[in-house]
Amino acid sequence: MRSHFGRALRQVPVWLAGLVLMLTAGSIALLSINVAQIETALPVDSLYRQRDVAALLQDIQRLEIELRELRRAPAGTTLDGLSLALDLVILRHGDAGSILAALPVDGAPGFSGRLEASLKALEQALALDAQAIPSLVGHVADVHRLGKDLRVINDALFQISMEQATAQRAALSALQRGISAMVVLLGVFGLALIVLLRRQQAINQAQLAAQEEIRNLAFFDPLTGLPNRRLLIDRLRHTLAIHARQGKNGALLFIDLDNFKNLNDTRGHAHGDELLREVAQRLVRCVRDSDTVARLGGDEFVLMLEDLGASAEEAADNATAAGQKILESLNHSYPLSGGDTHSTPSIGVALFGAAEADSDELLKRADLAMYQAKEAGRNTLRFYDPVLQSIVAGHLALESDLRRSLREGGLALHYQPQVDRAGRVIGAEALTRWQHPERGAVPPAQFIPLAERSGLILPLGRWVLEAACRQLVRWQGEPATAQLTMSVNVSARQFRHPDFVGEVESALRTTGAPASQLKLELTESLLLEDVEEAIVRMELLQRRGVAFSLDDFGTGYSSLAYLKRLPLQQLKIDRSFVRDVLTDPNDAVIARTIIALGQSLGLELMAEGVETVEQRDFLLQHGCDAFQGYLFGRPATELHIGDRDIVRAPA
Amino acid sequence: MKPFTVAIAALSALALILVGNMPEVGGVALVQAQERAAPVRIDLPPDGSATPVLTIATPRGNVAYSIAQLEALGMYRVRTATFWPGDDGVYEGPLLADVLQHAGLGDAAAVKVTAVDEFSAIMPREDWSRWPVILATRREGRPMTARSKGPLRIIYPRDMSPVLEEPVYRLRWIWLVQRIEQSGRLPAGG
Repeated sequence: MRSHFGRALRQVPVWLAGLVLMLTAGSIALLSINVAQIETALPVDSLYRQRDVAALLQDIQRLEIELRELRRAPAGTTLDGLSLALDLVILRHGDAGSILAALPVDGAPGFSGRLEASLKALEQALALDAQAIPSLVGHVADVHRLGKDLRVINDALFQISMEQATAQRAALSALQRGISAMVVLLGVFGLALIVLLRRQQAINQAQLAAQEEIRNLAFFDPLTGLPNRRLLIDRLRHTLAIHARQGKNGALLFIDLDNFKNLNDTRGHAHGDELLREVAQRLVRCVRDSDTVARLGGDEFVLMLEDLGASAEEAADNATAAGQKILESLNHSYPLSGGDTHSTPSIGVALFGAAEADSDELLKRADLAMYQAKEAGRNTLRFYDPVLQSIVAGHLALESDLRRSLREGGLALHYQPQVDRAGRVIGAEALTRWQHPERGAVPPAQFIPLAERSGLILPLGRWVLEAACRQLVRWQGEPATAQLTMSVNVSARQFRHPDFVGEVESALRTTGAPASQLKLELTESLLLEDVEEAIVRMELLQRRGVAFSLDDFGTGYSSLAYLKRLPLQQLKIDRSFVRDVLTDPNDAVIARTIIALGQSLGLELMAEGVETVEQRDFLLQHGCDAFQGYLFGRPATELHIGDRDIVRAPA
Repeated sequence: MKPFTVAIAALSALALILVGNMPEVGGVALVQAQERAAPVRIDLPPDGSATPVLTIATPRGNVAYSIAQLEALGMYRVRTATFWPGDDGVYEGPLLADVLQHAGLGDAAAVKVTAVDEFSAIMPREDWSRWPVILATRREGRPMTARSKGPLRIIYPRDMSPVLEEPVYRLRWIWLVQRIEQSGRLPAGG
């Protein structure tokens, strides 16, 4: 019923537009028809006819006057005036004769014949010359009568012209009335059309708004504004397909607030809703923009984290990091209107990558993992996959151990000597060693990535920098070591930290170490991220005297274009090329090329991993400036300057 | 909105049709008609009495012209229709523009032409500058008598343009021309 009415309403503007169009066309047609009628009715012809008759009347009267003059003064008068008057009447009658014959007036045809007869007689009399005057005068009465008759005809013609003009005036005013009416109707219908169109536009907008509202209700949770289950499933399907195709891994985090039902029951639903809104906001802040935070209902939230890594283990570690962040964020107290509230979440994680499970199955797994987290004592995170769970647990334990070791001094620096061409020790590289209380020595390859992921790399890096600087200061006290340089490795995350420059400066200041003897070793990949920013930082420190060395050169995506723009002092030839420099011709070529490149750019060249005298000799021969490796000393807590016999250059 | 578009399109079409009906649009046909109906220069020896028949009043005084003097200004011939019965035909005479130029009225805004029977009409300069108007001295090579609207008669090249068929020009076809003088006012209309 309502839709019928709506359709009819929508038809109205179309009808109105048609009406306006028809009215416009009608007006124009009426106007042109009437103008054509009035044009034909214009009394132009009638006026000319009347003028011709009037002129003839005038000429006849002139002829009559000439004749009367002739009668009054017959002696010695020339006939020139009479002759001209006669010529004029004849001329005029020649033009007006046919008009007179066709006049719609009584007596006109008869008049024309009589005039013609009189004119002929007058002409004959004029031709008689001597006896002319008496016979001419005899025509006065005749001509006078003709004048009177023509006067009557002329009046009748005027009557006809007047009637035509009156009719024309009536036609004009009728036309004016008709057109006025049409214009008024046009205005009224046009206005109605505009009003209706406006109204319909408003209705359309309201409809669009309503559709938007419906869409929101269908895909979003009205309480928190987060995507609902339907939108989550939709996005999850899409993401699963992409991840399976591209070999990426992602994670589904199922989050349930602990004891939320109790809170709702004891403090009321309004309070609970407020908490849910706050939780939603914190969750959104914890993840990247590309991730999805959805609310399934009640106190259940689901996070879909995309693109967490190429391997399941990496994805698990990243998911754990995100989960830890969420745990920490949601554990802060909530300053709600009903008073401060504490709440904790339990998180279940299911990874997705290879096409093994659909979206429903994944949700179920994450849900199950969440219950495991509840059973494990709440306020924690559990993986659905027990293998991953144990790996992640191992990582977490190691991370916590590293944190403790960092705090309690379980880390130490070892120094590996670096020598010049003559075999003299010119400096050392500081290397971090971790002695685990139970596991023994943990290799850097294991704990450095762990520190990078957990963010421990920042305090670790600070500690390394300070310890190395303190060692530099100790070396200052001994003449044998006073000139040595200290090479310190800088991790990517540490270098990109906004206050990296400040940290280096602070380490130098607090320890009093000479900046000119500090050398920071950077990796290629670290520099590639944002070359401009890297150059700015390096130049700031270089101005203080700090030197830079490019580590592992030749293993990354070296770009020669930026190499010349970076304020570097040294290139380090990677140990992988040094190892086989004597046996693999390719490595020999690479080593030689790196040396040639460094020389042409004015950089010092340091080979690392030099283990034999032959390797040293080869590199020496091709122009390498400095060396580091077991041949010259293993990393140790103290630098042994005295062991120089084996490293002395050949004479 | 669709109805609006349709309405605007229809109105534009109507407007175009109305404009298209106006006479100026048929320009090409008009030019061809003009060329056919234009007076042509002819070589006709002056033939006529030396009696003055026309007085032209100029600011410097009156100038009298005889037929012979007028024909000496250069003869043109035109075949034209007129407004009157039995009047269509070939007329010869000098261009009114040449006559006025000779008398020193070429720059006058308008002239008043008066006939023997005291009829007069005003001709604006546009008429003799735009159209080759003839002050005819002959019809079909022969001088004209008073009875055949002579001896001097204004002939418009009526067939050159539909404009010249307008009724307003009919009053300017003055015959029995006796006097021409500068006029201070322009004719109404036309």
